[in-house]
Amino acid sequence: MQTETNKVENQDNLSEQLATNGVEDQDLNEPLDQDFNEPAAEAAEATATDLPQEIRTSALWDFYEVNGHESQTQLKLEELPFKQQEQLLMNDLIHVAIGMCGDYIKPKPREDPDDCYEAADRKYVRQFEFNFVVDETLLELVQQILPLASHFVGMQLIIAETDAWGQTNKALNVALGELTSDYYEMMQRLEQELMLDRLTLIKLLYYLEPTIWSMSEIFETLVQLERHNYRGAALLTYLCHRIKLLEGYALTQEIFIKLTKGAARPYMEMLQIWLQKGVIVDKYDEFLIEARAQPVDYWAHSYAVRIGCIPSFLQQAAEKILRTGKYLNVVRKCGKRFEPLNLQLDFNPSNNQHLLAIDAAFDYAARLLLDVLHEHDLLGHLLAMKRYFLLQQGDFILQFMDECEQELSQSVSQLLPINLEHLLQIVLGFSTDPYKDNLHCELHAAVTTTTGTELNAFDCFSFGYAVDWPICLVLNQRAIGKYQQLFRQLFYCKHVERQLSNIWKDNATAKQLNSTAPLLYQAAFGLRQRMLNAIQNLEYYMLIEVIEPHWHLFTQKLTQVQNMDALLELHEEFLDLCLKHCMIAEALQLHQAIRKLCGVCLKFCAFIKTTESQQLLKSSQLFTFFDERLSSLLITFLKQIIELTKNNTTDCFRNVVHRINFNG
Amino acid sequence: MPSEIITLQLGQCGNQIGFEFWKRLCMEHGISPTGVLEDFATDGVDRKDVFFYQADDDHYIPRAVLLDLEPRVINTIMTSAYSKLYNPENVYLSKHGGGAGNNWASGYSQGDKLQEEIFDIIDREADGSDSLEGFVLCHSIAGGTGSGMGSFLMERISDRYPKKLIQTYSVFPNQDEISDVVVQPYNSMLTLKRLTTAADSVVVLDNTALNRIASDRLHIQNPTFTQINTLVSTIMSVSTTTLRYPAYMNNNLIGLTAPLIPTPHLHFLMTGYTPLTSDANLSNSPAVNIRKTTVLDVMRRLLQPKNMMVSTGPDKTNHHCYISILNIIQGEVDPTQVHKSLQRIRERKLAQFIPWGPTSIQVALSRSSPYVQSSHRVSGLMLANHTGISALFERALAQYDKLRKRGAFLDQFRREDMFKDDLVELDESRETVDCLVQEYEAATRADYLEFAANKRSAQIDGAGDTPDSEN
Repeated sequence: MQTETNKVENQDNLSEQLATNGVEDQDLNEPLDQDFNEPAAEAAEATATDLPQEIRTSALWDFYEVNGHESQTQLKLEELPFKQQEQLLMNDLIHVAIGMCGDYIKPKPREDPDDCYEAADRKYVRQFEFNFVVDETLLELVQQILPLASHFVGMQLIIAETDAWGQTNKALNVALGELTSDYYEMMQRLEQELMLDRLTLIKLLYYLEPTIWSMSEIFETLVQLERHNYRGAALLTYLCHRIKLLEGYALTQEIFIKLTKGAARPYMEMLQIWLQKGVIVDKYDEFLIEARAQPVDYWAHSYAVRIGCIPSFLQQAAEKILRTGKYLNVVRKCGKRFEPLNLQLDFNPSNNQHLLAIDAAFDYAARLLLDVLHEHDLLGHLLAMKRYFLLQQGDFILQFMDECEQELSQSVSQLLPINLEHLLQIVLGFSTDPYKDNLHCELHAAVTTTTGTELNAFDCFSFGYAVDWPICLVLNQRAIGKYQQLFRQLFYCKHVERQLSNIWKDNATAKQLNSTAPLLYQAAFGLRQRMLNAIQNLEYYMLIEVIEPHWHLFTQKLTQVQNMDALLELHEEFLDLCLKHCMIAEALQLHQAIRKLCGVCLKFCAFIKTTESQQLLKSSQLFTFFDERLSSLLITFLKQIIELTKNNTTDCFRNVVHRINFNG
Repeated sequence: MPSEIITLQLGQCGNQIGFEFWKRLCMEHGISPTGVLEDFATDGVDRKDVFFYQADDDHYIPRAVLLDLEPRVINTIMTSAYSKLYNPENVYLSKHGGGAGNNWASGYSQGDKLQEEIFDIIDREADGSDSLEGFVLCHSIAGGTGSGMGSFLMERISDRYPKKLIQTYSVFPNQDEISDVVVQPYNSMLTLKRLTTAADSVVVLDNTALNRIASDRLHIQNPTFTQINTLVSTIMSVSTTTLRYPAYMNNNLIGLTAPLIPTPHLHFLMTGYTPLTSDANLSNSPAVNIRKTTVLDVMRRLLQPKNMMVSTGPDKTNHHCYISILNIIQGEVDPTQVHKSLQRIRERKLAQFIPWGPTSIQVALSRSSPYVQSSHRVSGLMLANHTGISALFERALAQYDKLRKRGAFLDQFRREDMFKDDLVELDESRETVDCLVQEYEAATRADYLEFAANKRSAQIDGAGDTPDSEN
């Protein structure tokens, strides 16, 4: 709205100026100049009314020839003395320079843009014609000043053209309007000088020289602006580019800096509101951040950077700007009130103050969000994940297995999820953990589907963890999925370990046989122990050598983390390292090898359990079978690891080998 | 609550170490001598329910059964500050109070006679728990009540509760001093048989080693029972720490013992603890902590014989080896250090393992009680299954044979029913222990799994040919 009134003021300004220049108001109402070539103007001419509406509203002179003025007696320039020639020409020049038709200097009609090859370029340029003969030196001086008129009027035309191009262009036009006022003022002073007879053409050129130069730059810039349709951020980028090109031309550069500052004002206001409150006020879609409606993944997709809408001076800060507002929005969504940071955000092309201000806003928002996360006990939730998914609370897992072993031993199709859920609640009933209610049971498709046989619930079981805003930003689907992957491998190994331990207890009855245990028992014990040893060491490796140290480092780094994105990155890195070193993510064949290993152990357990001791004695071939199967699987497994570590010595897979096979 | 453990304390020694054990547990869990949770311990994240249950008024009661045939020690307990801690119904003193006269046979037969009353208590405790995991027995193998009645109970319990584990903390007599119990070798032999056949795992507390550690390492000239028992209670409490402060692994008794015991008979575990200092030591000598203790330091020290709580004597043939090791490490431990330490130990071959199966040092990083201030940054307990423990049994055999050859002191045994007709039980016990020694011996060889005890005669001369452990 501001710009609108400014414009009106400018118009007033203009007419005042014109009045002082001795042009009478009623002249404006005279019919149009013939050479006016705007189609709208032609239409206006056809209806033979006054000035066309368009011209009126934008209050452009554009050298309308005023009939009444023309009818006045005109002195023939050639017949006058040199001094008077100069006076009249100067008078004409001053008029032409503000877009009025002179007595002797007249604009040439515009070329038809269709005919002209360089139409776009020439659209705003005016050539002038002289119907007189004067001294060469005078003419040369006149020729030097004339482009100013063309450029000034061109500038006004472009201002009128681009005024509806959004708030940035409007702001630029306001700045140009101020420039125009100054220009008129200068012309008025020059006219006074002329009337006081203190001006010569040489002097005039001398006074106008810098203006000619900067006006031509401005005109050139505006032509490019119009031609390339620079709006919003692109306009600011272009202006900055021009400023750089003007390095060394201090005066003109200064003007451009002023213009750019003015043009950037609304943009910077938007930026400030975004940085302080996380709100987007952007009617013309010019801002570099856009909001998306109801994204699935709030964190990743709620706001985005519009690549085309980043002014060059914000390019390096775009990501930070995006995050700052996003953080603030998250904080607000948590229902936390916060004091907007006191921010002084003006753009000055000549320094980097705005970047520092953005940094400050970012740090403030990052701190706010981290504080909110900690208020919602992020660490507590992470510890809960560690307790339940990474099996740190071993007694809970054992309890859960005690309760659910039967259920989980069924095939998936027979399992009633509600039963599992119920049993989980029973086990959790003992717990005093504040987050125990977040835990629930899930059944997934198995990682390795064995064809033909129906899936056992143990293959598919996993915990789920439901979290509220804002913790779900950290414990998002992806992260929980990774925890689940880890959990399923660990849980499966635990299950196998338990089965083997149960057999251990059954076997222990053999001690009463008082050292007359037959050969086969001993073999069975040895085999069982090898299995137990392999599985347990695998667990030890994953839990004590992988998860615990990585967790340790993760939590250490967590205390130093500065912002949410770094935190997310850290968390993901932790999970990925665990997945990799637990042999889940990196190499599929290792993961499968572990499954196979577990499978053999489970078969062995089932075999021992169902076989009566009498039959046991007869089934020595089966033992040999199990023994060989285990050995071959273990050997392949270890070989695979060694093969993998050959390429990558830093990996700690090799520790598994040492663990399972201590004696080397 | 699952995985509960019932503690049975038998005889003077059993009740003494049991008393120290409960004192220690109360301290660690912030439970007052009267069973009330201290104010500072209300938000503990420990598991008290493995060893305690809560009465209606929420105070904690140990799952402990105190049994003795003579009143002295139990009376001391019941007049101490902790008298209100125990369930009085779980304290059983035989009516006549005459003890077992340091006679295994007397203890055994009294156990038989009193079994109804005793099992009333045990069954009640077992029924009171959600899913009992096992029994822990504290006793000495040399006296009368702990050894005799303990043997009887072990046999009965393993019949009655075949699915439950039986772990014992068994105190072996001090070999350095002459015992006033002349029949100690008989008592030991008879108890050892039950420990072999009825118990699932036996934590050996060797008084010889404990006394030597007290005098050599802790510089106590004449260690008292209390000082020795402090050592014992440390071992007992730390070895149960993964049950009480659960973490990733070894969170139940079976998870703790199964990996240590590959074959049913070889279930006698040694313990080692470091750092070994006591209050007395701290006041006598200037501060011992010169440098930062690392995990590697702890693990290395745990492998040194001088820190072992079992005196196996010098292994002249140097063929004994570890069957399994579990290190429980407490304190400020950087978990990233663990695997480096293991690697170092492996590289330097600091521990020699059995040649017949895969095995390794397992490490449990355990939390420790926040209520007990430790003067040490890191401390460690080793539970190890080592073939060298057979030296203890060989010594017992030798002493037994010496006595048995002379037929000395057998009268008091013959007085009891079991030995009325003959002394077959004694010979059978000797046989069992002898087999055990040979099985340990065989376990040092690569062909152990082909070892069948009934063919042992062919393999007896195996001590010389030490098999190489490189396979």
